[in-house]
Amino acid sequence: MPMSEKVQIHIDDKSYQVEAGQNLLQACLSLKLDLPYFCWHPAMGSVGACRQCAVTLYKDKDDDRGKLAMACMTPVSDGLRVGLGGKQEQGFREQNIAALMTRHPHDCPVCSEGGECHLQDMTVMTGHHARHYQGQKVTFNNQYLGPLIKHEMNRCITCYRCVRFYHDYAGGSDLCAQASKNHVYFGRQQDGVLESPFAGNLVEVCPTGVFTDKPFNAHFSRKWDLQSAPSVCGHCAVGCNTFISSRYNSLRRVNNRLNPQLNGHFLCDIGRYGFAYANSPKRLNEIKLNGKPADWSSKAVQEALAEGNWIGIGSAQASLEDNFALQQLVGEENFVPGPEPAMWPLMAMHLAIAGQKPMASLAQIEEADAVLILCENLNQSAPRIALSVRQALTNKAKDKAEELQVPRWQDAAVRQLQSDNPVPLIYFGYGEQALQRQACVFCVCDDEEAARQGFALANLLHNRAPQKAGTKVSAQTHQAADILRQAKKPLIVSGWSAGNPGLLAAAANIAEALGDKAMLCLVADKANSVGLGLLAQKDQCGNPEECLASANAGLLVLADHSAKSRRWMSKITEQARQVVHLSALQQEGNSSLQLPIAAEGECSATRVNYQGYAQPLWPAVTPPGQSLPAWQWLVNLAKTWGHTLGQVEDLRQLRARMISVFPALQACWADIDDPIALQTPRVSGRTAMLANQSVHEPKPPIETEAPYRQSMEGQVGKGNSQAYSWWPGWNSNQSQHKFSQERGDLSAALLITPSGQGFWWKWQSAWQKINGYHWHLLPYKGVFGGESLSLEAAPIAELCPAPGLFIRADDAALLGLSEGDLVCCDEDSTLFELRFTDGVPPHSLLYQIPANHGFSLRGCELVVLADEAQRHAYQLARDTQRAGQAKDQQAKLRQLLDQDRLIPVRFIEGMG
Amino acid sequence: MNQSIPIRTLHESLTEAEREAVEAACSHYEQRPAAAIDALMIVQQQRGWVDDERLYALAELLGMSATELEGVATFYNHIYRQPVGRHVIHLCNSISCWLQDVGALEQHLCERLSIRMGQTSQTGQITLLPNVCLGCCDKAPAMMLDGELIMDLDKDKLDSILDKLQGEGNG
Ligand code: SF4
Ligand code: SF4
Ligand code: FES
Ligand code: FES
Repeated sequence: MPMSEKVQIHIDDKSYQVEAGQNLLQACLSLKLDLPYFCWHPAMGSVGACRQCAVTLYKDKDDDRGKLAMACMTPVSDGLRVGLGGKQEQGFREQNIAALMTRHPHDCPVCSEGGECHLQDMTVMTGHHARHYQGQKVTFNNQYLGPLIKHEMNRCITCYRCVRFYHDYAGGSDLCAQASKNHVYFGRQQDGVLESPFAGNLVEVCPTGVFTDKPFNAHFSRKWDLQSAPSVCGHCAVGCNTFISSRYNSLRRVNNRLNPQLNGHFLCDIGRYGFAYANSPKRLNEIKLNGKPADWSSKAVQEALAEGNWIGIGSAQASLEDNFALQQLVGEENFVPGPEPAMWPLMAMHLAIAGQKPMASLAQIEEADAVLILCENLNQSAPRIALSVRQALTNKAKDKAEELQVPRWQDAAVRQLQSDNPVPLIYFGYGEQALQRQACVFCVCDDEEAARQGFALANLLHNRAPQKAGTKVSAQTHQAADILRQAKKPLIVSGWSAGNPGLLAAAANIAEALGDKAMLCLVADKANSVGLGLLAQKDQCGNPEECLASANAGLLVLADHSAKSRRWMSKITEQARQVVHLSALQQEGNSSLQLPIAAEGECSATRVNYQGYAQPLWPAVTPPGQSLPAWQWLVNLAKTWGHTLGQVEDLRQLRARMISVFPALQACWADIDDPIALQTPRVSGRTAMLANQSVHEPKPPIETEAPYRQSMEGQVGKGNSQAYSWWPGWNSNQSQHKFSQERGDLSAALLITPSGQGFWWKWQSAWQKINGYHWHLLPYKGVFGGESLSLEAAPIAELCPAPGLFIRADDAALLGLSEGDLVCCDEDSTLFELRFTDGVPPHSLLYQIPANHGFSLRGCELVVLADEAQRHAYQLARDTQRAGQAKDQQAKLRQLLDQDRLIPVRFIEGMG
Repeated sequence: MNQSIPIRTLHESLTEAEREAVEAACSHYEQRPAAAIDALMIVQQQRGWVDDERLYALAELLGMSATELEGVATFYNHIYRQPVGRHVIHLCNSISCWLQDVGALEQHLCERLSIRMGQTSQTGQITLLPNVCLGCCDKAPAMMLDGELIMDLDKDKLDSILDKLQGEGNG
């Protein structure tokens, strides 16, 4: 049923027009009526488990008894008569909560959910405010679930949302409902780290305090005391929308901000926990010249920054503003789009394709009825997209359900139908993570072969598609062609993670061959790779190789924290006159001058996601110490050079210049007339927070361009402009359902307009790799450890696995190696733990290594077993590293906690 | 790939016969995890209960996670995840039996065996467990002894059963 169709329903004798096809609970919430519920979730549908959303259904006007029904299980239909506020249904709802509370410990004061708890809200809403139960309560043992999630099972109300999310929706197999009746338990078979990279969503999915955010608990604040701002995740090219929250000017947590086109209701754990790099012990807070603190106005610093021949190296981890300012300052011909040459051709290819074809949003991805992934390690490069692809795999079951007159949101029914109604997933490439395991066609090959088969596939689908001569078309390619031909909405996914532009070209050709029905999604490397590419695309840009060759240049570098870029930087810095890093984290080696810059959540910024959408993010704190937004340093520098960029007085003026280059950006920063407060109306200690520094209440920091105030002044944001999720009576994140109708126009601007013109890419010899080694080494990243910035966040670093080398079991047997052995490649010093998998192409090994760990071999002759001494040294190094990390982090946490405590108390003499 | 479970468990933890029986059970279903209950019962028949090692081995054999299988095992109260005595009594605790004063019988049982509900007698002879409605409410109160339904229970009947069980233990 098309969603725009309307039906008329009567609630408590008032008539409403609501969208057909939805359930009654959804309809009531969209009408902003209060109806308590627990188990329903907008992204996961209904199961009718909690019995909380009871309403009375009346047959007709004369029916005065009606019958109780669960709103979430009742489809809306024309003429439906509903009692919402009557005694019968209200009494039932109150008693339902009373029953749930018989096993709840009433421990709100020590529960970190308190103040944003859906159970609290619903309890108040039903009017259940006195405790009558006299019996005993069941108590449970809690489990250790890893560094991200805290478990407190006694608070459970058995709504089953956690397992429906974790197991059914996200495909994690290590969290299930255990036992039965009053002993139902939600946990693992035994203590251990939750395996799913989406575990963090349990914090928001669970309506009570069973699963809470562990790092946030360690440095906690009540929601009402937090100062929050709308932000965008900076850890991959999806650009999921988030709220970032702070207290006492330190960042505390990130949670989901609903964007129906992108992340919907869920984030990945990198996005939720990765922000903590801003609180890392490695944070750069002051100017450093040759490793020592220095003054901006000092002669030494000014000399180091003297006008002259400068090359600017942009960064895909920096904002559009920062890269733009750098490009303006050094001139387009001296601007290099990032410190990884391997990325430049990918960047160019991505932009060229995006200029022809639109990139599917996550919402569109979830509509696919066949999916082809061309050698893209989605699980790592864009975890949230992997989750959306997983949802697409339920589409045939949903269609089947509809055929059987069962609504699509009847989750339990749909799950039953799934195994007999699979959506085909085709995988060309290597590895063995969640998605690969679900593929019905899996062609194990390297990136080059995947690209060649991709070209062949396009050719099978359309005879005008160019072929690479001499390709042996695999059986899987024929299968794929059949599947894609039949599909109504096929989705083609590829990306930069294998480092081969040929894959992007192949994906574009396949989409072209399939015509209008095809959807295309290419995953870029980093959060702002596409924004950086757009800047580099301008006509005046020089060839990076040439401009780097210019002798005696100084390098102005926006930091990129991956090991790959560090390796390249150390090569080119040798001949540089001067190296200046603008960085949020301390740079090791090869930088004589370091300028501290604002991190995530500390300044206004804009990033461009894989589709070409520019999204603004707003600060929740002011940058620490001497840190400034990088563009501000560059403007200051321009002033000393007398460069025109120096005329920019504030962000507004910088953005005006950006708009003259990218007019579409105007929409992205559209003004909101009345300022919006980032603090809640009930924030405590407003006037006393900085009393140790001054008894005068300080003026709140104002971002010139931002419609937000880092204070209580201003309105409570609504819909898209919200700074945190809230609605009267709804303190938890469930309040966002109140705005489900108003989410259409998120402030984002599409900077790339697809021409829609057809184009066939031809095979290029540059995509071929000459590899004379016995073993071909293929890069393979895990979720944790695959992204460099988040590796500086303590909880993510803790989850980062040791370097691993993946091999086929039969190959290992030939070499006399077993799983778990410690090995190295030829003479290289990096030690890997050997792991077995079937997802390795012949003559290849997959190496998985933390993004901040250098390793550059493309191949090797021998896999060498480590000797006793090496093993010992390895273990020692690992233990020391772990212990060091833990110690540094503890110290940092203590420092943050002390800072909080000292603020209000030290003012009283003798205390603190 | 579940790294917390060592690969060898599968082969060392189950007997040849157990593995064959599980395979036979799997062949009756479209999907291997569907044979979970059968597989657990196969192991339980051999060993009296299902320990962790066997649980991990079965999970691997069935192609499901240990947590998923644990969910199945703990849902059913006739699958034992702890050692039980030589005999197991499941006493019904649902409404009809409760109306027929099963509570008094429970007390009697507990006193005679010197245990509480959920425990095993000192000699390891008898385990006492609760059970939801056994489906014979018209003949309440009821219990199940080693899989056999015993209805219209009263103290005397119970005593004679216990005498028999305890007698065999000492004899
Ligand atoms: S743990 Fe939370 S989400 Fe899971 S069933 Fe209990 S209350 Fe619901
Ligand atoms: S998918 Fe990417 S953008 Fe989204 S939360 Fe994860 S790392 Fe951030
Ligand atoms: S929300 Fe309707 S029964 Fe749970
Ligand atoms: S209540 Fe005991 S048998 Fe039904």
